Amino acid sequence: MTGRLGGVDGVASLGARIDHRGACRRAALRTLLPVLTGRPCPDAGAATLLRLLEEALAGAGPEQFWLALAVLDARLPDHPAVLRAVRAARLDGPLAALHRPLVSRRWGRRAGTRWPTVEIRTHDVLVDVHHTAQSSFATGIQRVARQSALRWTRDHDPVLVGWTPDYTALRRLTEGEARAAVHGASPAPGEPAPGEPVPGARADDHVVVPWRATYVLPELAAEPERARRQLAMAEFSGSATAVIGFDCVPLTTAETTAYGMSGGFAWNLAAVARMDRVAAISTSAATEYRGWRQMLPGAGLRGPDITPIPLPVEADDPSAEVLAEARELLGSGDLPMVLVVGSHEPRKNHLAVLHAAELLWRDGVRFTVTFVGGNSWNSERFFARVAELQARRRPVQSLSALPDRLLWAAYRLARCTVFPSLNEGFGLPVAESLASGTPVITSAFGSMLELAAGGHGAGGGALLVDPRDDHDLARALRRLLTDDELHGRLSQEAQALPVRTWDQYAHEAWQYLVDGVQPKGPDEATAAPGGT
Amino acid sequence: MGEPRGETVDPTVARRALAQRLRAAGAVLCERPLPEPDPDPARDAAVVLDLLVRDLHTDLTPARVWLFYVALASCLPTTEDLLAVLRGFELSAPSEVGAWLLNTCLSAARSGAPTRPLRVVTGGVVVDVDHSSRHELHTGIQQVVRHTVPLWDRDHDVALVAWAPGCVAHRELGEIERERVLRWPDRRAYGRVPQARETAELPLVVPWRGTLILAEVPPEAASARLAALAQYSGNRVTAIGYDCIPVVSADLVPVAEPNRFCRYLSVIKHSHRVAGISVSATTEFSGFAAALPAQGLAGPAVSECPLPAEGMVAATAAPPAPLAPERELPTVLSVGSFEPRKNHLALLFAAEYLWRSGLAFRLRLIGGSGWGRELPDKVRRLQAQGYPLDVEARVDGARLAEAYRDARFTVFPSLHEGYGLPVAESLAFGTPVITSDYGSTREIGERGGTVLIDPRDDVALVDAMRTLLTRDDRLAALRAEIADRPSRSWEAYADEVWTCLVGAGAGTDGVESR
Repeated sequence: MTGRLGGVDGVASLGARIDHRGACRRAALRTLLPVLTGRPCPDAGAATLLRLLEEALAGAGPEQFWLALAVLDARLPDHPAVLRAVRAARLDGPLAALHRPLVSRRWGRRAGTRWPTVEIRTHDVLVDVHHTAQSSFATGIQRVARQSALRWTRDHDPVLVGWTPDYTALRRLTEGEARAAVHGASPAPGEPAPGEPVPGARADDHVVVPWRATYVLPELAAEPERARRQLAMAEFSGSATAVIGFDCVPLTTAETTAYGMSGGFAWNLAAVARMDRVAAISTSAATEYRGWRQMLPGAGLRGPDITPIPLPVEADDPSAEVLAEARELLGSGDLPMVLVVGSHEPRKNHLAVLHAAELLWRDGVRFTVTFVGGNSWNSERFFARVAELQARRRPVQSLSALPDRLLWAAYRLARCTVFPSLNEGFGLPVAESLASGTPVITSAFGSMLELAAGGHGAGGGALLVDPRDDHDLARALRRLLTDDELHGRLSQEAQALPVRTWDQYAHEAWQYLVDGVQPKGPDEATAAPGGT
Repeated sequence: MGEPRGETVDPTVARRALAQRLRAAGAVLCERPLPEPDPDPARDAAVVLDLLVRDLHTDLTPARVWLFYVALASCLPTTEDLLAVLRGFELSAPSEVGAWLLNTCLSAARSGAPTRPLRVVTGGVVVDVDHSSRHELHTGIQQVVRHTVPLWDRDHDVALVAWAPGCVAHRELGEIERERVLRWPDRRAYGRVPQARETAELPLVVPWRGTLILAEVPPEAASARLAALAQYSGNRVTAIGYDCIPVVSADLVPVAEPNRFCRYLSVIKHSHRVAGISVSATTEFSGFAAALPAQGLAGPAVSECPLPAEGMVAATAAPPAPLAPERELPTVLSVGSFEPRKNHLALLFAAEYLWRSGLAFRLRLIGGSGWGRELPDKVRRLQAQGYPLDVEARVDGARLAEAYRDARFTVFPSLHEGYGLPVAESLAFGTPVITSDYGSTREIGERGGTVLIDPRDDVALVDAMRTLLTRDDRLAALRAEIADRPSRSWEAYADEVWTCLVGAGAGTDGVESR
């Protein structure tokens, strides 16, 4: 079928238009053609290059058009854009399908921007640490991404990537960003403080297109625009695609998250549905992801392979000075201290802790309660209740944050910790408490149960409770506060738990996410459109 | 948001309603009979409140406090509301708790429905039909409700409810609303929009040791209160499960949809049973349930109760029309809202491809309430080029029936469906369908009369359409298959869902533990 741009005149005039606009547009064609054809690109004018492009894309499927759009447009196309191009090509020929990016005025002098250079990465491993590189703030997720990226860059040779500000294209990280992604907290002189955007983060003049490469996402990408591009990339780039799966809380426990989280997360899941592998951070997180995967067949989707690769925790050993500093700061005096670590969103169930504590205080049990955790979504009731109890001179305090060294010291100083969360992907405070040898009261299900079981049956330094039953929680707290023999036994159990290191974790995650799945080879052409 | 603003609450009415509600709760919560009513409603309320508080203190369970809260506050509690009262109760002496509760719950009542009385339905079945009772829309979910609930109403004792303003609690239906659910084809109030004041005095309704059936997806604003009802009230909450499209296919729906739907899932996770309308819908809800052990919940038992495909248009169906006469263009029909999930762009591509290859046919799209720009733009462009492409929005049942009968075949290459009503409708009119080869459309389609294709493969769609446009023998064979399809009635569906959601014992035997 001869379309409007298939004729000789069409190609010639389009070629002249491209030549007229300078070398940059031709450069994109020169980047694209060798990958599409498997042959070197001749040094020729745009018209010749266009004819080669037309030939290369004759009868091509969505994968080739995904690549062509990504390179010519210098941004990753979304799924509808790829389908639009394939349909236009079938009706009017490949050049009609690509006409818009070929004559785009998005770049260049008129738009006040430089033409971006486009780099096609084939067979490389791309690690997307966009958020982690943007701040030295350390949420649980960023800690995992950072510890993994640190070891992966040490032991392998991945390309660290992030996104352009509008989340339409992948780009290499700047050196400063790469340092922030891997090392986090300590910016070099002249670099921004933690939480500040890193300068150079807006560099979008050099974009990266993965083609039959490996793409690994060790952080959560819940921005719909980013997920749209990831979805099409997972489906059409022929790359092996894999993520670390933290939890499905916005889907399964939406009532405990800020409104709007679920929408972004659902977009993330739509992209992950087209990926190859999910390394879940606990068996419990794998349970959530597997339940979600069961939901996919009605949409004609199969979903990724899902395997739990549990997170490690490496405890700090606080010095005597730090312990003394913490003791001074926390001011528990002679009373045993109950430590509660975590932000105050409803999912963490801190109102239940306050109620159980009040029941015991009324009964004459003597102890202090220290909360360490940030203000969070919907935590007003928590702070109001703390204020009421403080007004009645109950020994309860809430600290918004502690430096790591003091937090580790607090774990050591505590009689026990309490973590009765309603749903966790991992339950870091449980793991940290146990790693410090301090018994923990936590929920008898999910990842918290896993941590307390310590890999070899029940009884790994924890008392397990039903977090939806205040009395169960109060009973456990009373036992740990009043029964020294029990406390001693649980402390010993906690100290005896096996230590798992970040090296082990990063190694296992790489094996599964990278070595375990291969991108498409050069010979595996996409199905040619037959019949019509 | 409570009752319509601007109307001040008459304190006399509110006091009388409070006394009535407390007595309604007391009747099921107090061990001893309540005293004779005091002629002064305020005094009467105080006496009954005191009795209730003392009785609750001896047996402080979440379910009992839940019902007490509803009576006092004139709204259903959220989980946070309920736990705050439960914990406050526990920390206060009986002598001081009354005043504290009045304070707490009456401030909640400011957002409740303080002038309404309360009906406690003990051991029975309450059915939430909010949307179908209050709106004239008659698409998928409302069709299921208006076919099924009248049969339940005929055969069982059910209380039909809608949400009071602000979604604070369920209330009884008004007469017009009952008609809209129970006598849809011959309702008198066709097209009439209900006024809030017509239903302003209807009593609140709560189930007690009974079953609440969510026959629809309830309003989002109700989800926090419904979740607490499911978790704490001691009632069984059961639901017809239509689909989980917003969380499985976020790429195909407006971005607000997953947010809304996840709030609905926070009710479903504390529910007891879900009856999926197709294998596909059942799989989605059971997948969600399978994720719940991670948070220590069993989730609902999910069973499959497939809709009766053939019953969808039984009332208006007529024998298939003869194939279109030669002089007219054969019509290819596609029914479905104009949204990306329905995959109209693939259909338009296939049609354009076939038109250009010389085939003559008319493509008719019937739909409505769509979103996205690409489809209307494409339609306009094809129409401007002179291709025979009709688009009709918001057609009535008679026009739709005519369109199904006139069509040579229909095309429904949807990317994701909980059911696929247009497939069932087309088959009910004896018209063959090209539809998607997975999920619920496959379930309906594989029993005959359809050509199943991969909706993500444009070439397959082109081939299938070309075959049905050019080969009368193939079309006749499909029509013969339709005639042989096994049929299933709404009666059978209604019975099956009732048994699933209520149990064979017809909902009079109290709470069954999970």
